[in-house]
Amino acid sequence: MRSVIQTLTGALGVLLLTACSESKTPVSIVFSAVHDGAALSCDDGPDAVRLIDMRFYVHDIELQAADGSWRLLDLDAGTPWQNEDVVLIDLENGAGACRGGSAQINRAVTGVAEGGSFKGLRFTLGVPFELNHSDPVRAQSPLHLTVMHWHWQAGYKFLRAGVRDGDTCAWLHLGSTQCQGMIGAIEACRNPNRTTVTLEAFDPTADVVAIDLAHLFAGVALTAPQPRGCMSDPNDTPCAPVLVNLGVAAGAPSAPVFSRVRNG
Amino acid sequence: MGNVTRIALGCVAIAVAAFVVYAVPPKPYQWTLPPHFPEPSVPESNPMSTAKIELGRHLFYDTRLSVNGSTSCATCHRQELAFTDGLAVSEGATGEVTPRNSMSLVNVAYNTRQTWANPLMVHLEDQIPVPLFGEVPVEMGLAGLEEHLITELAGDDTYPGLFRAAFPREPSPVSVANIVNAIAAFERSIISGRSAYDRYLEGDAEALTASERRGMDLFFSERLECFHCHGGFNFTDSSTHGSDALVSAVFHNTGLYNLDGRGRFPDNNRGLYEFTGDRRDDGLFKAPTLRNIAVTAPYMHDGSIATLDEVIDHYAAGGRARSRNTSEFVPGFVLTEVERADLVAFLESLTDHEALTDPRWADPFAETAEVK
Repeated sequence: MRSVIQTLTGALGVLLLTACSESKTPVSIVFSAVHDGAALSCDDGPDAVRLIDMRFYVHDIELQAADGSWRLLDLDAGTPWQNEDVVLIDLENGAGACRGGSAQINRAVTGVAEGGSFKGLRFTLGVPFELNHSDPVRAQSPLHLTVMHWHWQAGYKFLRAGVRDGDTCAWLHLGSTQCQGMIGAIEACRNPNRTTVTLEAFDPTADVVAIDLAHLFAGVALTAPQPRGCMSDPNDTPCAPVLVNLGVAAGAPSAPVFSRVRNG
Repeated sequence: MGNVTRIALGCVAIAVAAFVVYAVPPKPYQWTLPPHFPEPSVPESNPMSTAKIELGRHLFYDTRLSVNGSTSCATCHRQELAFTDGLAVSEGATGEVTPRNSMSLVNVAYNTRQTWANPLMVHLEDQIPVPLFGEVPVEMGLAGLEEHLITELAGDDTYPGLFRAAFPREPSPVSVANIVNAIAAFERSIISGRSAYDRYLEGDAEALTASERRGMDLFFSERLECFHCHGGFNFTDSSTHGSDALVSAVFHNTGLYNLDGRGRFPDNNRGLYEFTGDRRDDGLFKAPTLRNIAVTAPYMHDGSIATLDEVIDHYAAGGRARSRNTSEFVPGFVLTEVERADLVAFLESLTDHEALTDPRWADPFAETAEVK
């Protein structure tokens, strides 16, 4: 009888210990748009600079635990902005310089990760290949939006971002290009144009991910009255710096587009 | 009859109706094909039905499918011009200009690829979202507005019934996918081969004049090579009726531009190069159908050739701006004045006048207006 109780107590103890070390922590990773570090929105920004668009997908979001290992963020699925594989971040509110956009905003990726505290963030900008070439009219939210699909290129717009400075504008639609095969059976794309961002020391409870549009468009001349429109074509010379700045084309970006900013 | 019996009979009636709708397959669609035309291939995800075609016909002519109510598919695809618009390039709902010439929709059911130079775009269903939701340029301007469109159509007097008839198994049939499928089915139904040339092929020796017959011989000669790219029952090498997956796309450069001496085409219109990044693909475009060519001016991917005579000049020269990319099937040729007139006469004999007025493909909203 005593040995049975001992065994049961021991087993219970092991179970309790195991439960504590496998705790899953809810995590929220917040994104914000800036211009040379200054807060940027559709209605406000430094001087005459305004956001005109900022919507993008991220996937394979990982957090670095205290022991240095990377933990995949288990996404909260079933919201309009997230399914189990991708999240749509939307920092434009359709107002001001973002007229024509959507009124709804989604600033954060949410999910749970194993571990108590984190000191690093890693994510990929875009839609994974396995989902990128599916039919948007039948896709699961947030991949069903016509405005995020690049209908003639058979894939999604991974990022749509733009900035206005006075009268001049530039915008970018980033996606995979030079794809081969047929819509419905795409084999591969010569320019996948996905980039993985790593932010060291990132603590989701204290930091936000800043996307700097000055750094994104560094080297690209904003134009008026027609905006400088960039569509991920590596042969489009005036737009080529954007692909370098994002890290999808060869070359050294002058300054990182994504950075960690302590939440003030 | 007692209440219980009534209820039981009601349940049986519902069960039978449900069985009919869900378990009995719909009658297969009956094609009305010219005798020498094959049956087109249809994607399994979008089988043809008369109800679906009728819904598609309404949507095709409906200007509510544009951001400002100004533009329908029919705006750039007018039946009387074999579903083109008579312009060099087309204008969208908000005034933005497309880089390319509107393509005829007669016999598009047979297209191997859609639009002028997209190697990825196999099905009509893949093309329709581009003018609806595309942003560069804005054509119908509906990007981001699909919810609004669904609400509008679902609240209409006529559309819910049309959608239910077209998609009887679906509890909520008004959707973007079904809008696209219905329009595709309508386009797929525009099949016609009733030109003078067709009647001649079917055995009417009087259907073509002597001049037209001489023009036909020139067209199919190795001397002119027209038939190499514009051959077959549909006068294009971009037609198929077989299994789509096995048919490769065919694109040609006819020597329209050579801006840098190495075959470069204007920046907004480099054709296949825009998908491959390969300079050898600079200026490669589809060779579309020559059916109804007399009513689909101006010509070429950018409408830069105004008349059939000028088209013949271009090909006679081996391309107005030959380059190393120019097709081997555009070697140039010499024609006498009589031969030129014969060739033009033959091309004009490819006009199918019945297709231009066939009520099956006409504007249903105009019909309603006339009845009133």
